[in-house]
Amino acid sequence: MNAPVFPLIGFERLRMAIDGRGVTTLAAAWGCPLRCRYCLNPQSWREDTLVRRVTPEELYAMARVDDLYFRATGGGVTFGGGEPLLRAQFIRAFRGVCGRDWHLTVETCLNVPEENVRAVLGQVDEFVVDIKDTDGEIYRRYTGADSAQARSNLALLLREAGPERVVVRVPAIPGYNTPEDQERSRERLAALGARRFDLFPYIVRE
Amino acid sequence: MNGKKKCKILKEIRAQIAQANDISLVVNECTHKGECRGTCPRCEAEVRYLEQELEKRRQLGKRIALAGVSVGVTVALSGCSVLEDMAWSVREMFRGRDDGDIIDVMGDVPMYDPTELPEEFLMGEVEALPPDFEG
Repeated sequence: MNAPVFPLIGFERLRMAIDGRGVTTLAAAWGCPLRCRYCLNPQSWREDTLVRRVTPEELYAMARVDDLYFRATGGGVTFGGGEPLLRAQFIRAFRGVCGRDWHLTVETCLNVPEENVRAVLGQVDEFVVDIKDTDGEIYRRYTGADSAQARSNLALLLREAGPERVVVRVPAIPGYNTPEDQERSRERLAALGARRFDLFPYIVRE
Repeated sequence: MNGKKKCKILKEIRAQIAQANDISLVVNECTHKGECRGTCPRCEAEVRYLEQELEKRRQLGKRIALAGVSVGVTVALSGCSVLEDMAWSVREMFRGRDDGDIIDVMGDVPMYDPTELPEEFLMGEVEALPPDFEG
């Protein structure tokens, strides 16, 4: 079996107060199951995008220059994208290489097969979930995809990982949902067990 | 967060690590002109120096204080939008795309020690990736 690789489209060191606690390094992956109307990183799904394919050992070699900062601040590596959970086996392997001391965060839409979520439950410290909107029709119009898998995976995550490890982003999406929709989503998600929310407006660049 | 502010915070973290481990660290005033990206070869050299000093202490069997010594430095920060920042990161990564190059997001600041990576990686295995989601 080939070693898992990560199709890297972005790598940024020394981020603070953006991807969770401490000093973090962002590793952004190519590939996304959604086609969001206001996607800020269309490079993450265009097929003509150039990437660096890195192994867990290679990404570790790139990130470990900040090992001191990670340990001192409780930070680590954040996997974003695109949809990093499409690379769940890579993330599992990366945890094996970097050890338990780095804080690993995943920024995800959760619209991935359930086994991908299960594969990283014990490896990832924190999940930042952009759930878009809990209304299926709003979700479909905005992303072009069905929301059932994402909602099912969120329920799984809250149940198996616990709400303290899950931040749920509930955006205001201009032209797609209203403040009332946003609040309705928050209430539904709270009923599902979510405790940590990030309500914010999407940035629209036309 | 601009580079100067980031640089100041990282400098404070290094100072705290040094103090917690009784390491002498003389921080010279930064004389860099122009855009600051939060780190530079001089800042990186300080990090490597601290790593070496900590390793010496480890080999001598001394206690090393590192885990969480600077948690408070970054806790109170509030940054710019995650999405804006992510977009910036990707734009930076692909700034050199027109001539087929992928550049490091840190510009001329090395992201890693080149001697520690295999040559084929340094050359950059650049290719259009087929959509082979492997889960």
